[in-house]
Amino acid sequence: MENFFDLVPLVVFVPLVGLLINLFTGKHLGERGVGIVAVGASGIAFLISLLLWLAQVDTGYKPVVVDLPLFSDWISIPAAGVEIPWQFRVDTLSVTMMMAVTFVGTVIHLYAVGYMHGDERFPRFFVYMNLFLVFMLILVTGNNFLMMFVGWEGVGLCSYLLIGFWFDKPGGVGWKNSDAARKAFIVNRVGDFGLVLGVLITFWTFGTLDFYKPDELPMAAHHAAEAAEEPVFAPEIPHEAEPHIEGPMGVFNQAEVWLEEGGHDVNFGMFSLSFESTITVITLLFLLGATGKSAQIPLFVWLPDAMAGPTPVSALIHAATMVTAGVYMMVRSNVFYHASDAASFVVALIGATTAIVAGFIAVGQWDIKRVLAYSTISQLGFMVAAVGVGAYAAAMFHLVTHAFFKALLFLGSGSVIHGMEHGHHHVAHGGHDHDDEFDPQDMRYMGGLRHKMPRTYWTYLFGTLALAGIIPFAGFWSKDEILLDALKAGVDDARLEGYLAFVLLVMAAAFTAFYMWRQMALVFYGKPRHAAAEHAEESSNLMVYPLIVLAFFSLVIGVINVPSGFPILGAIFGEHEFTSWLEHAVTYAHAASFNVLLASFAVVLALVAIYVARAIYNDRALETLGQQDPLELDERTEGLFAVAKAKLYWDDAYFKYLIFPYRRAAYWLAEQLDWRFWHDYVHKTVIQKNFHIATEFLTQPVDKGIIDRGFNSLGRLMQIIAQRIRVIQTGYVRTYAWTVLLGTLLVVFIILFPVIRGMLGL
Amino acid sequence: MEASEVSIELYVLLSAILFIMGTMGVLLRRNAILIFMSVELMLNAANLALAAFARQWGNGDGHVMVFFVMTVAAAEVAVGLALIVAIFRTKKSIDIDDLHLFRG
Amino acid sequence: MELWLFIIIGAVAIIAAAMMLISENAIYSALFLILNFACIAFFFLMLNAAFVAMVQIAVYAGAIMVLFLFVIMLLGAERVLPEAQPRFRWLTPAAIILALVFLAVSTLAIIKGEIDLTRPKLEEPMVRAVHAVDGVPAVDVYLDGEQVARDVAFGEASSFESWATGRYDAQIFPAGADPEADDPLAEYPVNLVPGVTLSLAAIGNAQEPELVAVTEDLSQVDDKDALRVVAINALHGRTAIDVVDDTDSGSRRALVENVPYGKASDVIEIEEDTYDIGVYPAGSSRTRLMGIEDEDLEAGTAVLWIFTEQRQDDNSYTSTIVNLETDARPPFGSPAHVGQLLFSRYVLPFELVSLLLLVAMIGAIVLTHERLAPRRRFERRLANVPAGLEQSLPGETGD
Repeated sequence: MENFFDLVPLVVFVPLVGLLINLFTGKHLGERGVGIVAVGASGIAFLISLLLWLAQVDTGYKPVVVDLPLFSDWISIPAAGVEIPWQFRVDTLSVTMMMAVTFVGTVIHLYAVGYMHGDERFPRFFVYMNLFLVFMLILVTGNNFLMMFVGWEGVGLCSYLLIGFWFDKPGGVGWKNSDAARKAFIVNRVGDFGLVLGVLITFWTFGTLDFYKPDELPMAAHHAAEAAEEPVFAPEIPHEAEPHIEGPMGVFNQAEVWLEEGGHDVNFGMFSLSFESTITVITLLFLLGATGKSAQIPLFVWLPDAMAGPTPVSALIHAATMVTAGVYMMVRSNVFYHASDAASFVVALIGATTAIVAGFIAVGQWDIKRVLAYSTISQLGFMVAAVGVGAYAAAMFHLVTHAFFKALLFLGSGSVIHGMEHGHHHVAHGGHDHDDEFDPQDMRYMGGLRHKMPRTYWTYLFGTLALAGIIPFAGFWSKDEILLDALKAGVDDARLEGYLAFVLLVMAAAFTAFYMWRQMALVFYGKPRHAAAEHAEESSNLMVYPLIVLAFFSLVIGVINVPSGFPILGAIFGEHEFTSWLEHAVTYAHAASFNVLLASFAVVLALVAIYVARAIYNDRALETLGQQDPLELDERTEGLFAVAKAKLYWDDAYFKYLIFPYRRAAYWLAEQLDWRFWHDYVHKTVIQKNFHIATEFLTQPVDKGIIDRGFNSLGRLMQIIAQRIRVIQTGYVRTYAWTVLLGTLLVVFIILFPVIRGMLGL
Repeated sequence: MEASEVSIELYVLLSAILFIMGTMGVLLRRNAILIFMSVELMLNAANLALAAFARQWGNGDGHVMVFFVMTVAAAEVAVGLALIVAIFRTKKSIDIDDLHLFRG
Repeated sequence: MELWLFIIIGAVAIIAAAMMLISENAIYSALFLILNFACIAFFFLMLNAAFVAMVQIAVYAGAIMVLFLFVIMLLGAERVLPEAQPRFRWLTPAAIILALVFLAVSTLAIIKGEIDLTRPKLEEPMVRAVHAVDGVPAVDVYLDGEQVARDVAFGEASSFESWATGRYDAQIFPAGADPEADDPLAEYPVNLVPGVTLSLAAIGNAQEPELVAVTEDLSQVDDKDALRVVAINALHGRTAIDVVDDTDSGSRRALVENVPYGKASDVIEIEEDTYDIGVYPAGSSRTRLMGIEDEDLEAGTAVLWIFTEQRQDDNSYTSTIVNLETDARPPFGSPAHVGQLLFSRYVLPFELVSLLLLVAMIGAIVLTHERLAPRRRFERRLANVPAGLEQSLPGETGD
């Protein structure tokens, strides 16, 4: 099965081929053809990922590096010792990401075929989607930070293209869409700046960007010994414990070696840092990158606006896959984060704060997708916080489960929106009053959709319960593991961020359950509050079947990592399967055993939150719901809701303290520096005037005086000479003959010159 | 080849005299046909020298060269006389001094 | 005598040329030129250039001058009218001065020029290969790795090839062998000097082949009825031999005597006749080893005999005579000599000259054909007539 590893380039190439087919022949293929090509490409990529998974299992989880033919020296400057090959890395971590991305991607592609039906740029949409898959797979399969960066920027590009996909919608909506796209792109630039700086420092420090060199194994020896204290999930490492350390090492093993040796300083030319500090700098810069891509404080503001894109895009890119790239990157760099306590502290704090802040804001939103967007930010905060407390496996676990149920929720919301639009369309053509203010995404116009769209309702309910962390849904397992790890970090390792993260995350979990049930109530319960909701219809099968698939997985996917000590299920599905699997790639992956108390506490908390939500958004409140939320009507919560509704004034603060000053500065610079100084003074006065003087000088005395006169004189001279010489050209043959004779004589003379000289005795 | 009483110098001298007489003809006569004949005389003078040297060095190449010169002369005469005929048709004269269209 | 002849004919030639120059009437000029050409033809004869003299009379004095006369008569252009104002008065003295200078210089060059007049140059050496090795079907012969002849069958000779002067190792190979890689059958050092004509005869048998270099004389025999003969002893018995004229059994005459094995006899001259030739061991006339009966030997040839043996299937030997007859080289300057040159070394120039004649023919037709060369009005065109010059230019001319 080792041959299967050579298939890994195909994971990238198949979607590439798909997108090229759709790019060049999309117009002629029709929706059906385009859909088959795009879904097929994604599906084949998933099948290849599946084969790679089987191969991993078969070969004892041995990490493999596959060279791409013709690309093996992608960037190669032998003189400078720079050698960055284009290599694919197949290990448990990348296979996990590949499988999640391609599976969710395939399901969402399928859904999108139904969702985008009738769109005038149908082929283009799928070109972008496949392009996104290409870059996302490059991101997760690359064996060095530069390949990851290529994928990182590529998915950013696709995100930009897809957020602004409906850039030409009438009535100013198109403007908003393209604004949202630009916002996403620009905010991400800030994060990418951090990432690229981190990558450069990494290169400076280690002289390479490879995670691990080919044939090199993660240095897990001492980690295995550490893990032996908890024999429950001590990984069985079939390959040799000592990594090969021959020749140059990849960055992570090199870092381990240097950390163990100690005293290794990194010289930055003007100053030098201890190796530990360098790692902290790198990790903090990586964190900046992650806050951009994974929408963490302070760069999360782009994600809610990114919901302007088509819903499949929101599901695939802005919930399930791309936004998790930051988490993937940090888990990949777990050796660094493990080494830096300061960075871990910051990471945990940022993650946990993001989780609670986004959870809080989500409560105050009316837009169905916006709620989910803030929910995504909040869940990403969970993952980042998990990385911060050292629970890398838990972070990845939550990433996987979240991919399923958040994709499900987004697709469900898309289905709801589709139904609402359908209803609105029906109303508008049925002669009813046409309401221009109608927004199909505004939950205030919904209500009672449970009966109109039963299948969507049930699947949505599954997603909600999974997100809220109700046992046995997927979210329960992963969220519980994060909470447990956070608490363990606090208690066992006496790390402050563990406690902080635990407290914040528990609160965030409660908020999660609350805003999700609020959404359920507003959308599905009660009675329709708008004619459109009244005439909403269930979506097509093409859209519903993916929901069912995802709902199924949202229910069961959690069993891949049943914690140790969990009754019954642990015996059936094995304990910590996912963590053990990841341990072959993630050096510091570790798991915690099941804690009944904590799990019960979390579940009860979620149930209480749901109950509170049920109480507030009861049938009566839903029936009388106008433009204001029940929370807004209650004077005790009025203020808080206003804050949540205003997104904690985060965007406003950015506008007030960053964007407006920046704009003023830009205006000032444009006016004073560019126009007045540069244009008026430098260009007009200095350059133009002096240029005039110079050209005047060059034309009058130089050109006309010297050059012109010179050539005219030359011409006249030629004329005079020619008039003299032309006399020779008599036209009479005899004179020519005479000249020829003369010439011949001269030649003879020259030949005979030595003879003549000898005769004359010279 | 038996040694000859007449040394090669005499032949070459004769050749030179004939050649220069041909040259004089080219330079001094105005009749185009006569000029042509003078050219033939020059060619023959050259042929004589060639034959003389061929005997001197016992090399048959000189004879072949004479033969070629004759052939080229024949070609030249054919074209030259055709030219004279053509000119005579237009100008009714073969005075070479009547032709000076190429005057500068 | 010859000198007097030269002076008289030379004087006639010069006078004829002078008369040609000064005759007012072009017909006279042409006739004097014919006389001059006749003189030159005579000189060609004196210079052993019989063929060229022939052509001079037939083609030059005959065909070409007839053409001249024909054109003169056709155009009625015997005379050119004297000009009212001779245009180039300065040309006459200038031309005469140049002519005198030229004459002086030529004389100077002839008298004082360091022209090598003493040593007649010899012809390049010629070489050919003769194959008479018993048991080898065909051979290739090389001189210092360069092929002289290839695939020469037994008893035959290649044609003579001109070769550069110098010392060489002559090597004989079985036909088709690679001179770089394979060992030669036999080697023999030869020295090619100018004028020599060499036959490289390979003799002996396949086990012990030998090369014999025979210098032949292909020049004309002084006696018109004579021919040259050379004999090589290649008899396996390795006895020296005599070659005897057996024509008249009464008066036997040894042509060459005591030729040892692997050597060539001297070149002898014999009269043209029909001969019986016998070969005897040296000094003995009893045992006739072999012979040639009723052999017609023609004058003006060079004959090479190689007396050898061939081994038969039953291990017996039969006598074999390789009899090679080559025509002697034609006399210098004869039509045969020039023709040989024309069709060997000068084939390509000859073709070119033929082509030139063809072009000249077509050119003459085109130039004189009225329809192809329509009369044009001559118009003077000057791109840039300087001011004040227009009037001095002749206007339109033409008929």
